[in-house]
Amino acid sequence: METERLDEADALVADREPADDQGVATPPELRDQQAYRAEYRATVEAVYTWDAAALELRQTWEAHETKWPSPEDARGDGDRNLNPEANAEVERGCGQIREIAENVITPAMRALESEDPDRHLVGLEHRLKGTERLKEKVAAALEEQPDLTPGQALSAVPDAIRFTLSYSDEQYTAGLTADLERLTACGCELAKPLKNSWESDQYKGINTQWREPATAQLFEVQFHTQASYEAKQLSHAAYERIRNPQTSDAELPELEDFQRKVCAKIPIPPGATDIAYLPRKDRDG
Amino acid sequence: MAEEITYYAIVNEFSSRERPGGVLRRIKHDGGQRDEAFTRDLVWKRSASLHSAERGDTMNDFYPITEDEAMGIVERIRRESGASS
Repeated sequence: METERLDEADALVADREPADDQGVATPPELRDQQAYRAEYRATVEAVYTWDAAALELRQTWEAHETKWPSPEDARGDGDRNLNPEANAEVERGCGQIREIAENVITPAMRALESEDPDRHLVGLEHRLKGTERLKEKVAAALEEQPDLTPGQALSAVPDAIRFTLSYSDEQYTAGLTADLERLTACGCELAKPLKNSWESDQYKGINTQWREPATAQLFEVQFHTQASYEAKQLSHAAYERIRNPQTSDAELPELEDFQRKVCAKIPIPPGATDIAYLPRKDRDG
Repeated sequence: MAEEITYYAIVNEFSSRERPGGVLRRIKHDGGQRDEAFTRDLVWKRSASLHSAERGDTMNDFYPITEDEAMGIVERIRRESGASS
């Protein structure tokens, strides 16, 4: 990972400024600079630590796969299948979702991306959830929430269309805040309060679900740093196994432990844990 | 260690905290933990929904509830399916 190195002179100044044995109070603007430099230096150091940790974590996962051969993937089989009517409804819905994604939401997200060269959409090729995974999600919702109809279950899936914006650690908080405002300004409605998982031990990042105004289609925008995005990819196979009903009870704790280990190494960008944003209806009371 | 069970109400845009769409339980035991949801087949089955939510999925919200509240949801699902308890 490419990261700007902290300038040595900055480090020296940062170390020198707080010490004032004459008892003269440090001006507030200097204290702000000192705090910023300290936070920035901690972030830069943590990013270097992540690069080294990622290498080690990949080896840990390889060892896990050797110990626990991949279980048969039984999702979508047997009692989790959709009945023919539900299956047809979801198939039709998937066609509409694809159309809205390609004609409406993706162009809007590309336009939003072009407004700031300092962050990018990543994993754009995965913006559409696969039909089988979508069916699996609908089937799980129907099974666990018996009142739902297949159409309701499909419309409640927030990430059938999903995007990820990736920021540098130092620009994460300000960049994300600006993008929330941009999304709102172009008419999208935040469907529920953003989900800030920077303090979670299983996942780090911020996920939001939005409603496109003309079509009322839900879509998801995830906000990551390069490290938190890489971590998500790195632990994806573990997550897939956790979701697989064929995975043994004995393997589960090791999978959760692996996800915890990955998360523990992700640097937390300055200010990220405090980010909150409510839907307009909640903000307006 | 004895098993420790926490119950959760499952809520999304078509349900509410007053009338949750479903119920899930997390069972912590010596070897770790497992999650089960009460399903439309009227049995508890292994579920990955809470774990997905912990990994950022925003489809459902999960609210901790008491065992009595959980059993109330189970009873409602049984009743509405036409089954008696």
